[in-house]
Amino acid sequence: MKTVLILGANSGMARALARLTASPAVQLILAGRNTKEMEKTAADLEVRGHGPKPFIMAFDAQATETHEKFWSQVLAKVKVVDEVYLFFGQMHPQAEAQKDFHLAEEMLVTNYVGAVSILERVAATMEERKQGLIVGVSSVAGDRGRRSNYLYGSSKAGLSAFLSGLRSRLVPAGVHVLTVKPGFVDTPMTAGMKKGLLFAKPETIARGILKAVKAKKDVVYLPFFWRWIMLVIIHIPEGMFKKTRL
Amino acid sequence: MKIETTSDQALGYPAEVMGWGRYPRSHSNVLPIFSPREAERALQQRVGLTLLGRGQGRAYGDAASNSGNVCLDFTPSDRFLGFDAKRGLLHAEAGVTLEQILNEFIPRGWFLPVTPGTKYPTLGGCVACDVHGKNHLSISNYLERLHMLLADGSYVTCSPKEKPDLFWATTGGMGLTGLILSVELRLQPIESSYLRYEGIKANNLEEIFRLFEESETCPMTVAWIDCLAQGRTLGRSIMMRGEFARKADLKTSARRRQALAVSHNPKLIVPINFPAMSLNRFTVAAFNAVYFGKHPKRVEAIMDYDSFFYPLDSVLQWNLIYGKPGMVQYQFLIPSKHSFEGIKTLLEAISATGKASFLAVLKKFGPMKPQGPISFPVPGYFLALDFPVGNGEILKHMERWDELVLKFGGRIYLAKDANLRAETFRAMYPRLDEWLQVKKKYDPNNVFVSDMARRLGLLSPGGAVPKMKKSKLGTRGK
Ligand SMILES: Cc1cc2nc3c(=O)[nH]c(=O)nc-3n(C[C@H](O)[C@H](O)[C@H](O)COP(=O)(O)OP(=O)(O)OC[C@H]3O[C@@H](n4cnc5c(N)ncnc54)[C@H](O)[C@@H]3O)c2cc1C
Ligand SMILES: NC(=O)c1ccc[n+]([C@@H]2O[C@H](COP(=O)([O-])OP(=O)(O)OC[C@H]3O[C@@H](n4cnc5c(N)ncnc54)[C@H](OP(=O)(O)O)[C@@H]3O)[C@@H](O)[C@H]2O)c1
Repeated sequence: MKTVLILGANSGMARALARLTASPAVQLILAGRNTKEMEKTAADLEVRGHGPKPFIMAFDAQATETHEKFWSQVLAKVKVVDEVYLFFGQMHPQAEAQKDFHLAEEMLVTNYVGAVSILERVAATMEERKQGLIVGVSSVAGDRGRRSNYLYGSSKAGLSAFLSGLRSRLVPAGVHVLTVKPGFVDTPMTAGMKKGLLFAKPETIARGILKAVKAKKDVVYLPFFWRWIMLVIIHIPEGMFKKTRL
Repeated sequence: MKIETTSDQALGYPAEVMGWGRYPRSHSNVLPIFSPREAERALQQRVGLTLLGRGQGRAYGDAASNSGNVCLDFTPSDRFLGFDAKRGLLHAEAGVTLEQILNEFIPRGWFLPVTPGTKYPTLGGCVACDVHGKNHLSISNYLERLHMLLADGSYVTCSPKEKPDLFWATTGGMGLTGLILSVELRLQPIESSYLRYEGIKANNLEEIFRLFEESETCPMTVAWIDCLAQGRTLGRSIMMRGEFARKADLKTSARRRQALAVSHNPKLIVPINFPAMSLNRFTVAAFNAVYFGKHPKRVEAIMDYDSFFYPLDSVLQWNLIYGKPGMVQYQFLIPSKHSFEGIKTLLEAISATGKASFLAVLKKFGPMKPQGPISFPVPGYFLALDFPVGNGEILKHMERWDELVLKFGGRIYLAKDANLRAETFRAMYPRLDEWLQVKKKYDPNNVFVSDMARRLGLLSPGGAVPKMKKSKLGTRGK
């Protein structure tokens, strides 16, 4: 039986991915802050008869001092973790985070420090076992700092750079690392944003992630057209870019 | 390293919101509800804005609109929370659609106990409207429990035994008593997902009423009625009767092996901006003539459930054929005592105006115990007709028909309504005051409001009457 750990399992995207991943051949471990919500997701998968009842574990990305214990508890439960999907993330509106550093700090600590803290431990175990898969959900917002969202963006830039280095480090061990860069997705994170044509459903992203895993991609933009949008954005000369309102 | 934050989340995003009839249209914020936490947050942060639960927007008029305020979109709350396979008891979040339930539970031998003529609505929306189907009772009769979030932020469970006042005011209460978070529904066991269908032609209203009276014991009955027929043929119709087929009823062995098949009938999509002109009186009359002309006196068939229950679903977004001004549905019920006379009088009035109705459905509710105070079903006959809004003339006609319906002690179905006046509504629903008392008890300050509630006075007596506002919570950038 394959074991799959989902970090930030209450995320809109994670819920969609769990539904697609659950199967009689997969033991899911849902980890996140709100265990009551995760229990509902687990009940849903169980009613659908998709596989064994998922395990549920409390996990707080900001509480880095608990990560060592968390990871050993996971290993105690399932012995081997085959795949880890990291979905947790925090986004506060730029204007608010500019005024209140706590908000900026919460994004940096969750999206970057917290991710590094847990994935370093995961990586060490997988490296030793010479097998495994790590999927990190970053964002197109990390590709270039824009005035409208650079505090969140820089936390994701850090995550993307970390994942790229980690991927390279784990090549000799045969452990695969996939960086996912979604565009706008219709989840609680974007509840306050006007929905337009650029918005994708969480199911679409979840399908894209699984397809990219199968294809052993290193970096995937989801939906695909974001790759071209970001290609243009990162090539605008800085002198010009700094004057845009993007 | 723990950081506490108190960031203000915007209460949703601005959007144009409307019902299935695409009339009237409204502007409000829409807040997607992935978990009750977001609804709880909305209650805490609404600062004077009113809230309204919303499902798939399949109610026709303004029942699920809340101009200048906030609609809580429950469609992302789509998890099954439990299933007792012995009793067929399903516990599911409010945003689960009927289609999702069918796809999951038909293969296990269970069907919805009641279903409206489309499988796309949510469970929450169906409870709030207390929907009825081709069988004789509405959905409230098959509910074990409702789990709700109330205006004061409390989580409560209600049922016919527990907080029965809240339960009965919520079934048919159009989302105005509180937010429905999850629903416990008793499914019905089936041997196959096919129906034994019988279609019988009736040449006039007398004949179709006689057929309904004779069909009292049929599990499901409905008639398709030609509203343009006049004089001798007034009320000519086709009675459709059905019951779930037993496995042994299925002819071919292939069908028997797949007795519990899930239907995937091909779907057509209506192109946007389909000209409203193409649906005038003559095209409808021609369509009806062909349909009725071709129909033999009696047909029997084995039919898949999609074709029997959801013929309209085979054309996705068929509401667009009525063009930009949208459409209205007129669904009225005349209680048993005056059913024939009332339906006849209204059919004559409607057919005299020469307004084309593409779809008209006649159905009978048999004897039943009293339902929720503003729930639609009472014993009698009801008719449902669709009209293009066009230049708005139809709305004036409808007001005249309302008077006639009232004269026969009848009522209009709120899930389809966009036009009723408050005084007429009050006269049609004699138990309104009983409902208003429950509203006052559970939502004294009118936290839950809809455009329909403002129009019909479904507001807590004595509570503030919240105005429509220019939405003050805008978008935020990414
Ligand atoms: C083609 C067609 C055929 C139909 N046939 C029938 C029929 O045969 N019989 C019948 O009874 N109806 C019928 N209907 C009407 C339809 O079934 C109901 O209006 C149903 O309630 C729509 O569900 P929805 O999820 O789209 O709800 P919406 O239209 O989004 O909302 C309907 C009402 O429910 C409330 N609501 C929704 N979710 C919640 C929630 N979570 N908490 C609190 N309140 C909530 C809203 O405030 C609103 O008042 C038909 C509609 C169509 C389009
Ligand atoms: N939505 C988009 O448009 C978009 C675009 C690009 C990238 N992304 C990224 O995609 C990922 C998934 O997000 P989503 O869109 O699905 O949004 P979401 O539903 O808001 O999910 C974010 C999840 O992160 C969890 N989380 C936040 N802080 C945490 C912490 N300290 N410890 C543990 N979990 C924590 C939240 O848990 P709680 O439930 O406990 O709050 C929440 O479930 C995120 O990393 C996000 O940055 C999103």
